[in-house]
Amino acid sequence: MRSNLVLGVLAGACLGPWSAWAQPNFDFSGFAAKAKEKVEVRLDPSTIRLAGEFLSSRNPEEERTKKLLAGIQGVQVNSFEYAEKGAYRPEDLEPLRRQFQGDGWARIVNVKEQNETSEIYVRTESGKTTGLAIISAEPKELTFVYINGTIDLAQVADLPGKFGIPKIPIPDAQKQKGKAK
Amino acid sequence: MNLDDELKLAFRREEPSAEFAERVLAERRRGRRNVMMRRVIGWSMAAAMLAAGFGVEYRHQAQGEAAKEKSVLALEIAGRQLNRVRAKLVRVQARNGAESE
Repeated sequence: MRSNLVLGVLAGACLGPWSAWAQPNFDFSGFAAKAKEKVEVRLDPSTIRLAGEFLSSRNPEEERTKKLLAGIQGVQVNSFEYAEKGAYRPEDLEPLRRQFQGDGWARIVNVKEQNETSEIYVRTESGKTTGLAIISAEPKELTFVYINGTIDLAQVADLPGKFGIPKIPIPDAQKQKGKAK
Repeated sequence: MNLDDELKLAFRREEPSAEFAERVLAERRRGRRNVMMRRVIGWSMAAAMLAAGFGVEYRHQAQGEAAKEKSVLALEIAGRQLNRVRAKLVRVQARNGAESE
């Protein structure tokens, strides 16, 4: 299935003008200003290294997270929830999208549903992929995730539910087909 | 004066001044105070370094725990978003598949 193929895309080398930890050059303050709730996390290499020291190898979940972090140089998450629709303009995301064009970046998923768009970008080099960006734009919620480094997408997708954040159930494709009819 | 007389003169006993004994005792007391002062300063520095070391260790522990929590949160959100997109993809593909049949 295409979705499985998408999640099977892995690993890579960091290329282009971006250094080992180069976060996207985009100002989210305008999006944050109108949000009723926001989560903004930025992890640089030293923070990630420190986190790795404190993740216990005796705990299986923490051990998995530790292995996942081992290949990552940086992470950025910006997530905003709005009280009303129309709090931001989707076209204001174009400068952000442009940063994932060229230099090894490719958009591998682009889903449009009613007023929602979801995109996944990955960066690849010599058969390896390092670099993941997710832009999920909904009328009342906007989320941007950027990970720089060698990463296993399948392992990342499997993390939720282990540390308290609920997992999103993946609908059964056949059942969805039946519903759509 | 011959050599003998000169030697006798050079080695003749001379009585010390009245305050000589007092000066020697005072110098000895000063020496003891210096040794004690050096010991107090040394132990104080050792205690201060130990306390600073504990402080640094505590701060490192706190920073490490905070870094761990942030990392877990960031990766969980990333995983959640991947799953959300995947769920949407499945829905859209199913819908498109049903429409084309």
